[in-house]
Amino acid sequence: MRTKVIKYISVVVLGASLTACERVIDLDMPKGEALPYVDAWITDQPEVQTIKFLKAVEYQSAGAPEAVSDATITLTDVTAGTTYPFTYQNGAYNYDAGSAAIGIVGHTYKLSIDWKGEQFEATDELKRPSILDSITGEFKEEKGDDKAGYYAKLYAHDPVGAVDYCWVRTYRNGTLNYHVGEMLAADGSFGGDEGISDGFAFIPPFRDGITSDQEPYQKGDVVKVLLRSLSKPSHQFIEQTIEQLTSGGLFAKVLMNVPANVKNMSPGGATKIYGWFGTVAEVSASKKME
Amino acid sequence: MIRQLMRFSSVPFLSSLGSGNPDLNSQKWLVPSKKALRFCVACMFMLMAIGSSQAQTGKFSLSGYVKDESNGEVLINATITIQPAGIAVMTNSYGYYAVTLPAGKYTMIVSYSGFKTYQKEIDLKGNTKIDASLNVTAGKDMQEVVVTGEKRLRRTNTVGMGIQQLSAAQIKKIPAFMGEPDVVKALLTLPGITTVGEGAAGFNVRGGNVDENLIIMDEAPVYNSSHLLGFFSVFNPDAVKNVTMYKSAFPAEYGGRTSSVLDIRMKEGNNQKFAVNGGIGNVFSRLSVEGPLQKDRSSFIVAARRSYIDVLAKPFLNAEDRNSTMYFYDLTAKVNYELNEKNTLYLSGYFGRDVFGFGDQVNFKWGNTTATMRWNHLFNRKLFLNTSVYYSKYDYALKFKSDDEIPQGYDWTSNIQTYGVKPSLTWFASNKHTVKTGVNVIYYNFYPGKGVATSEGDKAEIALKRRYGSEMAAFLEDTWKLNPKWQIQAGVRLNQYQYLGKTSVYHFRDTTANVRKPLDREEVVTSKKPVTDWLFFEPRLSLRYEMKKNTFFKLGYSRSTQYIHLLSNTASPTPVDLYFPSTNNIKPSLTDQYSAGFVTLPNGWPVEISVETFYKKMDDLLDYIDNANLDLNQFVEADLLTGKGKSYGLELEVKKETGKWQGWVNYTLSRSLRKTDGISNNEWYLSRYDRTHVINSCAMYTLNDKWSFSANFTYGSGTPTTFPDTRLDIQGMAIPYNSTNKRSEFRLPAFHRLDVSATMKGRQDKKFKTEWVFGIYNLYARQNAYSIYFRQNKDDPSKKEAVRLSIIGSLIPSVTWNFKF
Repeated sequence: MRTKVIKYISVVVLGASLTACERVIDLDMPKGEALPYVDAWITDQPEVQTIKFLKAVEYQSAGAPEAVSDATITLTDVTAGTTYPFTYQNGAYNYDAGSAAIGIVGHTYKLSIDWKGEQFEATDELKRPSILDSITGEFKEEKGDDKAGYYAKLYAHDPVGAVDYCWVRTYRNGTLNYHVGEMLAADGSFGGDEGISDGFAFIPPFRDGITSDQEPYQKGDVVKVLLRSLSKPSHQFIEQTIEQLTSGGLFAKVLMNVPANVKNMSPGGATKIYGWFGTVAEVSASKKME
Repeated sequence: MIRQLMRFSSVPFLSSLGSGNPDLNSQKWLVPSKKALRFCVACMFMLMAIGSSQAQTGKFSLSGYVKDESNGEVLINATITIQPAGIAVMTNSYGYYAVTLPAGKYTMIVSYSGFKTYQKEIDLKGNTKIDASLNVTAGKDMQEVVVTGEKRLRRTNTVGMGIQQLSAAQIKKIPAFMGEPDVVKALLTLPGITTVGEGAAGFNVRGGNVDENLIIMDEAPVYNSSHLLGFFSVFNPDAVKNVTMYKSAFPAEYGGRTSSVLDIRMKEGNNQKFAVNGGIGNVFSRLSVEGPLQKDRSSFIVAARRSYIDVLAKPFLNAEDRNSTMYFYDLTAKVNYELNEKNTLYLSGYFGRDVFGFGDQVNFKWGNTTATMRWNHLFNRKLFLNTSVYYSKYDYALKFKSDDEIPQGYDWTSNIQTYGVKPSLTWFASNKHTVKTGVNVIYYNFYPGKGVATSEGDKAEIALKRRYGSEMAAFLEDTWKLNPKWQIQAGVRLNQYQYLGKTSVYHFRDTTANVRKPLDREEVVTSKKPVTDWLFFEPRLSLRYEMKKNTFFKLGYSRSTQYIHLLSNTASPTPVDLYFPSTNNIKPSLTDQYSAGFVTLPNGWPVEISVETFYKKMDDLLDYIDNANLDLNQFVEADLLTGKGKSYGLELEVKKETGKWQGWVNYTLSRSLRKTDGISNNEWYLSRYDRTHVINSCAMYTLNDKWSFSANFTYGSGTPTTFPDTRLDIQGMAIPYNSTNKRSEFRLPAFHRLDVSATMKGRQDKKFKTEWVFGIYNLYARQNAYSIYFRQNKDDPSKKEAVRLSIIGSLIPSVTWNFKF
């Protein structure tokens, strides 16, 4: 919340200084280590589930990260006692769940990686999703700094009881819309673990947050909103990720590394795997702008 | 005595210390502080006894006040030289001086920067009181000043090191941002004082954090010194009389912060005639009214400012943006009343607000409130008592409301309040000794925050627990002129800090460094008894040795401690950062500073040359775990770390303060490092205020009675920063990552900027005076980097960009019209 306030003030003040400017610059960036990391997200959706095991590239590298192909990856539903072996194919480890989904709300999952003779593990709990009521869209004329175009609104609410963390992602015609940021809600609001807004309808910053006023939608665009439930640790990971993705402005923070939840289980094991394993329940809705 | 003082104050807590609350009084915890108080009270009584009993044989005292003749304002740190005795003393913060001399004939010379020298022949036959009134030098007289050879010393006539003084007149001469003279911006032209960038709030002294500066306005602490984030400071230059900055070897009377002391004294107001001062500029207007309530005895000043960038911009904005508000205002007021020759009362206050808003949907407000009551009492000519009682509050409130039919909203408030009492006694014991002693009792009330969320009729509230703390200090200091060559200022400060109850005390379990500490248990403490306390003994020592005429060698040492911390992990502190006390989980920080230097006035050159070196060792500095949560977090202490710090450097300065050309050039070479377990591989890393090289130069030229010009150039190495050397692509997000885990391995590009200004005097009647100030800030339109950050291109997410943010992207011209009648 405070971060939002700070960002808001920062934007207003920079606007007021009239001369503040941001320039994309050429920077001689350092070359770092090719850290091994996972991008592993299991959903409650049917069909193919994918786990990526990659080697990090330089920040500005245009190339895609190289895949690590020599690992054995298994997923375990700890609650149900089921094991799912993932197989490497086309740069990723996959498992086709068919019409039955792997992910079940309330279950705990364990990711096991066997790589270079060392054992790695990560766990996460799959939480219940928030409730997506509807998406609306309407055309707005240019108003102030807001460009003319279709403005979509998200109507969603938090299920009563417990603290529910929700990751809101917006897609335009099937691809992630980078003009609107990733958003995170806790009980439909910006709170933390306090559960003070339990059962809330998602507050306006989320409602309006699926449209960029600089790049609103065009007629015919299909806007899809995906709500992903998150466990508390996964929520913190995404929160910290968003912080690193949006760390500009007057009150920029020092670059901090996002955490990792993959642990090396081999006694004396020195290799570290970075990245995150998360399990999510997904709900989505789409709306054609017209 | 103390009890009287306590009663004198209307602060409930303080009076409870004296006699009020038996529950507290019977507590064992009061014992050490009582000791401290007793020690000091004993010292004070002793001084009073000695002071009043001293009827030295054949010696008489010469004492009085030094004032500005035009308005009756007392002059702080004016130099009084007595010839042929060769004695030099300075006036104290209230313009008072006292010397002891054998009967005889003397010449008394009083000098003060920017004023004509006052000279008087005295035939001392008994205790004598002389109030000296000095006249301001007009521009054309400046040449004369050089001719008389009167050297206006500053570094040379103080014992301590690292002292920098600015008068309001000097501050006004430096080219200013948007044409508005500014106390903090003026300080940034001095060696050892820097900021992390344009628009950043606060300032850093010798590698210290922003919250390590004790900023006091008429004794009351000011928690946020900035308006409009960091563009302006909260001090109205029209109401400021004197600014003294202590960068090292703080006098023993100051405590509670480890980096510096910025002592700002407000004007008393003209006690001769009514006067109105004002100015109209691009950003804001100033107006101050001052005058006598009773000529020579009592006066007042009221000064106000308001920014109107929003008002001016309104016609150019479209309907939507017209709803946005962004302004600040402040009001400074002071009255004084001389009850009789021995007693003077002062009342002063400050109130300032910054307001940001957008329609009735968004409204943010923050600001400081301070109030000070002071009582000056002369027991006799040699014994001077000042008692200050003060209150200070910093608060902010944030409100969001949706414009839907069923409104949703979020309200957030937070504040810190301080109550203090500080009686201090100065005994002008002899020409060799000036002794100062006193106590300082401070009570803190922290209200870290309350958030109220409403949504479709539901209301939810989260309130963080209040925290309380108290500080009790006793100090004693002697300024001792050992012989004509040596002077010593030796002091001690005994500081006790207590973290008080009536709150929840959290106990955390130890864990790996840089990982959130797990909560062990919450202990609810219902009474205000101390939960934890610390007692610190802080020696302060300054030595001065005159190697040859007008060449001095100085040494200094000081220890200082700090019990309140600004929780901020952003590049610049924000107005919504919290102050938080030292608790059972956060140790007070402690700094030892050693300094040494030379200052000389070379023969035949109208300049002062100084060299100072310093080394600072800092312990238990606050740091944060990666991705710390400082937002309305009940368990924020679990996210805090403490570490070590050190800084060292060399400061060179050449200064010329007389003649048509005036100005200074200074160069600072320094390093500021931190080491915290769990951060940057547990290795030393550069703090974000580290600047290897800093050069400031300021030149002022008076052409004639009408025109004067000034220019200011500043250069500084870029501040340290951390760049990603790799990235993690996760779910379509390119996360910047630093595989070395080392902080501050890179630097932003160097910072430099040139500002110029010209002042044209308009009408200069006796009754009405005007001047125009034209300025250009950032003359060559340099886009200094404030930060560099990284992002995915929004249209082509496969492209990763480095983005440089410049707060000032162009040159900024300004025009200000000042008037006085």
